[in-house]
Amino acid sequence: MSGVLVIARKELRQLFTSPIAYVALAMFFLIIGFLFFSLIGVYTVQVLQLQGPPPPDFDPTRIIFSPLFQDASFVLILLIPILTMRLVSEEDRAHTMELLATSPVSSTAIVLGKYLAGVVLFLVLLAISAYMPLSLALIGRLDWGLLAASYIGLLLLGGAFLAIGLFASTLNENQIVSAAIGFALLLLFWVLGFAQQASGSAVQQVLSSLSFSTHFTNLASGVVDTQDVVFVLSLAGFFVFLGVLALESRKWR
Amino acid sequence: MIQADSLSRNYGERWAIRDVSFQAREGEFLGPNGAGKTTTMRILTGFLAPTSGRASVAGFDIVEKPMEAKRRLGYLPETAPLYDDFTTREYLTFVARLKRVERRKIVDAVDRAMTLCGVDDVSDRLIRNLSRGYRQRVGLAHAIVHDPQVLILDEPTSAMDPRQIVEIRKVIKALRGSHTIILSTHILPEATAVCDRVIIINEGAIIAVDTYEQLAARLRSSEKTLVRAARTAGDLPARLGRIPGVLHVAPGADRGELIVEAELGRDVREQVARAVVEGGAGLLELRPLAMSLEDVFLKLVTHEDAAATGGEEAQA
Repeated sequence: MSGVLVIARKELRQLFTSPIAYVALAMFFLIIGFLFFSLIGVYTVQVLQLQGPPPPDFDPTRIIFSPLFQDASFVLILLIPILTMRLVSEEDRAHTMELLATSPVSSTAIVLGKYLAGVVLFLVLLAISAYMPLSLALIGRLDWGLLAASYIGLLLLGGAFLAIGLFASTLNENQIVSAAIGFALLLLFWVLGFAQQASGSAVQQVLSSLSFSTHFTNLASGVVDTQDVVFVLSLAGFFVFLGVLALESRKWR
Repeated sequence: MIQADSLSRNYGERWAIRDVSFQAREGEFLGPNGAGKTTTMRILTGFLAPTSGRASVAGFDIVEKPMEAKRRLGYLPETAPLYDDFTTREYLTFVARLKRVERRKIVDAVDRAMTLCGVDDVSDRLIRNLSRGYRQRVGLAHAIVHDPQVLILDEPTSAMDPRQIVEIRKVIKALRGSHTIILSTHILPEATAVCDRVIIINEGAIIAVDTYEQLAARLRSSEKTLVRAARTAGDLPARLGRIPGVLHVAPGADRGELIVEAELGRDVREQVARAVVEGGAGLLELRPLAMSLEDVFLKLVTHEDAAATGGEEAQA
């Protein structure tokens, strides 16, 4: 366990002293901030068009934040590979993997430490994004249950994305290639759900249940279904495991 | 301390090392580039797994008990594994944590390693901004920060200027007493400068393990003397050839040089000098030709059979 923390601490130190974390966070909040701004515009227009008392499902949280989180998940497909690309690739390029691999820490501890650092960075991102609901809470009433559920969904999704990005980084010592592989894998898991019309019903069911888009639609709209949670968690676990395997197999290649 | 038992490793079709066995309290790997030095060291440190055979460090098998073995091991790879965006002190502190140095001893361990390797004066500089010599010394400091029993150094002086090389060697010599050191090099004089025992490896196989003096003695089959004279023409070679014990007289590399080969263990210098002077050839230089490590090395590497016959003669 202590090995995991030593690695995680080092990764965070490197992430936050290099421009990459800041550039990535800035990029995320630039796009999300703009979307937030335009969704508020949409909501304002809808309020102005209201005649009589609002219908029961007329809720700012649902109108503003559910689509916002849907969009955020798509931005994360682009963002997460950039955050994870250097995790292992950079160690390979700088030959520092030789230090880690010949130290008394297991490959599992190395991968988990790096994964943990990614999760912490992602939590920072989520914490900063809280300015959006909090600023609205000053002037209106929000559905906190729905928001909390959406945040849990986003955290789970980010966890799975990070695991996939980390795995991609173990495959190559070139950061750009690692980012490209991570991006391709994430996009693939996203578009699997689009195959519905193309194939037979049995195949279609398998493919769409493997797709992020299917599961995240529920999570983002505030429905925390065990089926979706289990899917996202096991996907994260599977790719962390693949990452460990990729490191361990290097000894034998 | 370090034991290798018929280690082999292949990369696809190609065997990087084959049946490498040795036992070392201390030693030096010597071999041309691509001979298998780095592969052997990577196996000893657990970075690579052997295709077959076993290796142990300080009594712990590197494959079966990797954590125990790695805790007792310091390894400086060919390229020092440094994080450019850390300061020297931050970096060494991280390594100390990684190597499981006790929390309250970390500061002392880092200070000690920095003093030993002479990097105290750059302790707060970013590693990115250090010169090559300092980087290599920080690399050496990282390998000893947890005071390992066994120290494995892969070409620690490569690509350094001569003064830096001398400094690094000084550090390594200072560490010799308390650590088992194995280092590799293809720079031959280094072998005699730092270590006593030499393990010569070529094309993935060990071809000799011995002290340098014994290796040189083993490979010598005759006593050679170099004679340089002002006038070598005429009957000088014939006269030298008549001296009892002389086997062969051959022209040397330069004009006016002759190489007189005599039976092993027979000193003919006095007779040679007299013969040259009496012949009026004008003696300029006379010296025994000792085998340099380069000769030993080349002889071993280019003619493995020469090593075999040399060994037989030494036993006889």
